[in-house]
Amino acid sequence: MKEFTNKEISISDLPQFESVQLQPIHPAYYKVILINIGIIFTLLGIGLFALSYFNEEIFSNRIWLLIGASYTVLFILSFLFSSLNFKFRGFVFREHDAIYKSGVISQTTTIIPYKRIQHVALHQGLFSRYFKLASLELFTAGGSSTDLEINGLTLEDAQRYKIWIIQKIDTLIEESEEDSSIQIDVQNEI
Amino acid sequence: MKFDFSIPQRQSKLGILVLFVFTLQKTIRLSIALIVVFAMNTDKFYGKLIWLGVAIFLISVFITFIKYYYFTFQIDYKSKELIIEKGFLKKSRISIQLHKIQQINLNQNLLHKFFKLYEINVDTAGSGKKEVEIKAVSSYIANQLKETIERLNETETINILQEETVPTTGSKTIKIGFFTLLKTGITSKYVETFGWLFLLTNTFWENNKYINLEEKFDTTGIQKYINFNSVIISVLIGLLFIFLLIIIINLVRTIVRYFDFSITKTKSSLLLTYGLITTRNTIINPIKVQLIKISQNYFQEKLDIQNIRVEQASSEANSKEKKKDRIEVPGCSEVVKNQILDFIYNKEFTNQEVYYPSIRKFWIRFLFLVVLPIIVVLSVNEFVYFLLWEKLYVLASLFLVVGTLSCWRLYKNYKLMVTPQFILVQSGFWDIETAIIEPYKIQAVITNQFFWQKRLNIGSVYLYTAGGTISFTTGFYNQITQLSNTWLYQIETSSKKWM
Repeated sequence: MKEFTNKEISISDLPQFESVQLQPIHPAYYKVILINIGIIFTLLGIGLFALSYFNEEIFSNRIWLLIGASYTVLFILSFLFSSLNFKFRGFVFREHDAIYKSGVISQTTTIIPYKRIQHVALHQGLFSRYFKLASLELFTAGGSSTDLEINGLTLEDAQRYKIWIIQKIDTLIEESEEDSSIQIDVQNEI
Repeated sequence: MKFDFSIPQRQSKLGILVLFVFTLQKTIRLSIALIVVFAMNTDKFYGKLIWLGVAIFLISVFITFIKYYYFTFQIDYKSKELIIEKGFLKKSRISIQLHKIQQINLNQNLLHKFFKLYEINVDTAGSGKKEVEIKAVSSYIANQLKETIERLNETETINILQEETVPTTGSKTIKIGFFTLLKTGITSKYVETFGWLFLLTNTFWENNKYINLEEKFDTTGIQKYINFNSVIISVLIGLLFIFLLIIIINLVRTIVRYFDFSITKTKSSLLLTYGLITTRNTIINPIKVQLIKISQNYFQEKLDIQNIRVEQASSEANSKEKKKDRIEVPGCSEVVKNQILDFIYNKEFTNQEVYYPSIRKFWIRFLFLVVLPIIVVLSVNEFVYFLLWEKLYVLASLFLVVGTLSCWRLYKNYKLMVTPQFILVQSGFWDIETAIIEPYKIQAVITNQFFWQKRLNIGSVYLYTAGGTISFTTGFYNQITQLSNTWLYQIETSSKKWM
């Protein structure tokens, strides 16, 4: 028999997910975000430029001016927004669960207990590879909206976390199998 | 007296008729476009229509023959396999190891019932694709096959033997009577049926363009009628008509779908059998149950009926299989509901703590669903004068009163109830729905806060299970985080399997 304790647990004693210190995303990932924004706006710019070059009469000058202005405003806004977005992101791996927080306007915290993870995936995009970054994705049976993806980990960290989580899951499964055999016995008694 | 299945068996001879009807149905469905085109222009294609009929008949006879003659099933007693051979040109042989068979269903539709035949449906543990159907056999063969497989399985796996030693409490059957179904049909699913009706009429109109049905009806009469009445009266009549139609459709659908609904309790599961034209069998397995939704409206409360929907975890990825795992029990009385819940959970709903949303939940709805529409309509009327101001004011104030009351009711009905074993969320305006999950079946916890809600201590929580999500939005965030911490603690310390 293991050492047995049975202390009363009050809710305020439980570890609080909202007050853990979140780890920030690797700063190099911000560059990846900026490159992505840059690519989108360059493509959009080229498209607009080509349109104005080949078929200027399609819009009046006034509308062209408006398009140009909104293009600049949009560019600056998404630039600012991405920097805010980057700052608000954070993750933490606790003993029993993974927490990921993101979002500027709507701030979402996703918490997945390791026990419920079905599999773990490691992705690396083109630019991420250049900066030696990777993203880690945790899948559960709760559907695609519960998949927790942490972008912008260093490849080393991502691999280490991945192995650590997989080991964690394995030990948890072993534990639960032991427990479940006990459970069946109990049910039979009933 | 045991039937020997070691020799390949064909289906019942009477079954040929059943097979033929199935095939005929299928061929007609496949050639429906041709038939419609020919039938719409009867004078031109009269001869061809007859030939088409003959062709369909002959093809069906031929296919039926193949389906009957080249379909055999047998049991290999040595290797313990169910073997099915079928196909004329492309022969296929399916063998299923008996211990992989999870469930054997004997189904009957109207035709089967008439000939006293059964369709055997074999569910395997593997992929959903490998499901096997034997279309039409006599009740003797069907029961023998079921018994034989069950008998062979019992000696094979120790698991089942173990279960056998547990004294059974005896299977108990709960029936849901015709009268209850009538009550359920009249009182439920107005919105759902309306949507369905809307879709149906839509597709009907779409098709109408091709068939040119309008030429065959005299529409001028209807138009005169519409012109004659004032708009409001015709709208009222229309609404009444739609409402009646919905009730009738609901009634028919409920009765056809759930006729002779019976729930049988076995040792480890609930077996549900229902259906008028096709008899369905489904199983509720308490371990697989993830989410239960109970709904009841005002009328149903007075009649003591409520509908239960059970969502089970599905190992199947495709949606068709998933749908199968959603089970509805119509028209349960309070007693039956408690029996079902008791069987699935075997726990009491005690020590309930109730959490209410912030009053902002009401104000947000009020603003966006009541005030905003009124402002929009009034300002539109300012520019495009489409209704007399007096009339508009009457309508607007009526809308204001009804809308405000609805929002208030929605707000009042919304609450989160937490017990040590369960999480319940109640919501709804007319159909009051209560969703129930057990904390240890949660897959992920997601909390959410808009940045302006931070100062106000407001936020939302979403709890994901493998069978659906429950959420509590615009609640007090400190309560939500506290509860989330408790639930996480419960998930992480629980040793029970979620499936």
